Amino acid sequence: MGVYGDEVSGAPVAASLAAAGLVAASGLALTDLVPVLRERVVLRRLGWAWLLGCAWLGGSAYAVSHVLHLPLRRGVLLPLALLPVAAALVRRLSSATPERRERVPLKPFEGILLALLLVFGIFVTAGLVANGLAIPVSDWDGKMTWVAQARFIRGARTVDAPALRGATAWVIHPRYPALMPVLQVAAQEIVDAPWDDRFVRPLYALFWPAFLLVLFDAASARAGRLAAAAAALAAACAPYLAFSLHGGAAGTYSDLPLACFWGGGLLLLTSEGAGLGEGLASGLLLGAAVLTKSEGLPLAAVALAAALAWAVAGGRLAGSRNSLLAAAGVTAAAALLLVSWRSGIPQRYDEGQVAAFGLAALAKGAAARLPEAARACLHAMADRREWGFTWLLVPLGFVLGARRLGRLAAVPLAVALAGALAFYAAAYALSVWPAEELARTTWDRFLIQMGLPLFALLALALDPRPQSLFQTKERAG
Amino acid sequence: MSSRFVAFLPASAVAVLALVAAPAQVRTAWDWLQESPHGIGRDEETARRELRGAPYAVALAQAMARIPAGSAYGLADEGGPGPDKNWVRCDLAPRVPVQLRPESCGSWFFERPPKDVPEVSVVVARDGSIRLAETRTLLTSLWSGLTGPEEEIPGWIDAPAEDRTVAGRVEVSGWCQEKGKGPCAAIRVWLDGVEVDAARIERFPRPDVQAAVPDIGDCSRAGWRTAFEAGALAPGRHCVAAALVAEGGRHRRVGPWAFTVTK
Repeated sequence: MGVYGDEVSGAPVAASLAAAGLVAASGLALTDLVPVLRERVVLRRLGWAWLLGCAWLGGSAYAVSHVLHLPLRRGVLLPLALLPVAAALVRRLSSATPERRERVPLKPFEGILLALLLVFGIFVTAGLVANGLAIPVSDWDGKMTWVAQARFIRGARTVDAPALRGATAWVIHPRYPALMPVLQVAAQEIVDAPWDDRFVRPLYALFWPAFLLVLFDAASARAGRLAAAAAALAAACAPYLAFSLHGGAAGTYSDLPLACFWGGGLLLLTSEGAGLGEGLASGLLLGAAVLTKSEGLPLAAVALAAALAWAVAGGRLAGSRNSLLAAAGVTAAAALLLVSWRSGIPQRYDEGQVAAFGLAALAKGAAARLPEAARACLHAMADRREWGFTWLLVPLGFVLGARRLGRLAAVPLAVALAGALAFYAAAYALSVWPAEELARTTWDRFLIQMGLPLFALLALALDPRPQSLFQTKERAG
Repeated sequence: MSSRFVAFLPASAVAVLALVAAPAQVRTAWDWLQESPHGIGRDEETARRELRGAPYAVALAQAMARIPAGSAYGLADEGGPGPDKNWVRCDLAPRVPVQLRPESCGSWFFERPPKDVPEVSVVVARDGSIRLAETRTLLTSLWSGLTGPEEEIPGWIDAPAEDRTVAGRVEVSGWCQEKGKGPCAAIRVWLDGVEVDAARIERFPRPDVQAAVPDIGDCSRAGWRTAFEAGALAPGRHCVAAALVAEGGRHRRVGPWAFTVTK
């Protein structure tokens, strides 16, 4: 198997699931190296494990291919995937087993919500993975950019593939960050999977349960299990997030992975007790965001700024210095890798995104274009088939729980959302595309990208615990 | 009790409202689960055929067989509204596409000319179908070899007229003659961007031109024509152009324009 023209019988089910299992195992080992995550029960670590595993394998493969010029073959990639496992084993052998926190028993309503969430999550995940294994990639961006890039990279066994670097090759968006294609190639090479598109769709689909698990875990630590379950249920029941081919987990757009990486990085970096390990892990996630989509770099910068604001507002700048510097350092390294990789790729076949720069152009564009864009955004959010009741229940939750948002834990989430919104608004104001068309084709995906901080903030608003009204420090739920 | 109720109200309201939307999600996931065994059991070729149709799968298989992995091919998109060129580029990767852009009336040029012209090109039609073509036939361009500015040399393409519909045998004909200088030295004709062999172009008398244009002189060789038997041109839109070439290489370009062939 593994080359064009070979006989392949049926979808590559075993190969795809084995690759996903290896990525998750690698990530689970990484969670063992992060003190805040190490304390969690395995189920709550699984979401982080998926994100860290993808970020590690995709990011390290990207780096060794571009910087060290090592071929993207199993002999290189498998050791990369197993490195965290070895590190976790060494750590376990050399240190005492951590004491787990005493479990707080579930209250009846919490138990019901969590059971519903778990059953619903497993069922929808099964549907997404099964559909991914059954039907080849058919979404616009997947065919145009991400899967095509993966095939070019796999064919050349390097991220510096001649098709990307050749000035005459007709490759759309050749300078788009390629973490997801690299991850796909790494996973395929490790298990010697065929070129069948169906291999890759489950890798994208698994970002959906990872999103929910990370959301629940982070929200639970900030707002308790009940609020976290309600917020996660609200996210889980947004049809677009799961079933959209054009931005959701059913497709191969990179928006959901980006949402998970930058949102996860932000949540981990601003978790109570975050130190060097959490800083490095959140840097890995933010670096993955930088390498996943063009929006990743500004969003990662927003996340770092939000974490800094949180540290300053909480008077804990000195205590957060290590984690902030570690996260910023890893993110900067990823940005340098991206710049270096792009420098070898001639700019071509990439439509101009921005008409003009400068404050005057921004002000003029905002006045002329944002009202029209806003109408298109509202129209998109009102689409019941795409979003169900999501944009009814999220504002409702914020209104009902507004009093609970005036606390420190809300600061980084609110700052991150404000920063992301400002970035999107600037893009809408300055773009050369017609405003309505631009908003219509991107706003749903921007909502996905803001998903983790948005729903985590919703969880804070839903927190029923009495201390939520005057709490200044987070507590585990 | 009431304060506890108020505290739990936001989370409860959001959870209940979320659950109202859940059945639709469950139905979708259930449908996907039920459909998946059939899809998972197919090989890649069958899956592609069921997704994009047999003609696409067959043409793609032909392209894969003719273009070695990693080598270049021309990709000519006739400008359909769909993402079809993206499918071709993705499905043929790691073969490297080089874009051919339409010039006029069926001729193409490389937007970024490669060092070596790929032997094979894939043409993506407006309806999304694909076909293979020899790149050099696509590159045959109008007006090749004609240099210098155009001149007002009397003459025209009489048939087929612009946007006319033609059935059966297609005759491409016209006339060319400078006043007092005899018939044009050469006539060159392009059909769908491909130049018609000069040996196929016949000259014939045009007494109607001689009567209509004063002082034009003897028009016994002013007319020109070439013909395509019924069925030689596929039904649909075609494109014709002609260069009227006088002494010394002076020339006038007529067309290109489109006409339609029906059965």
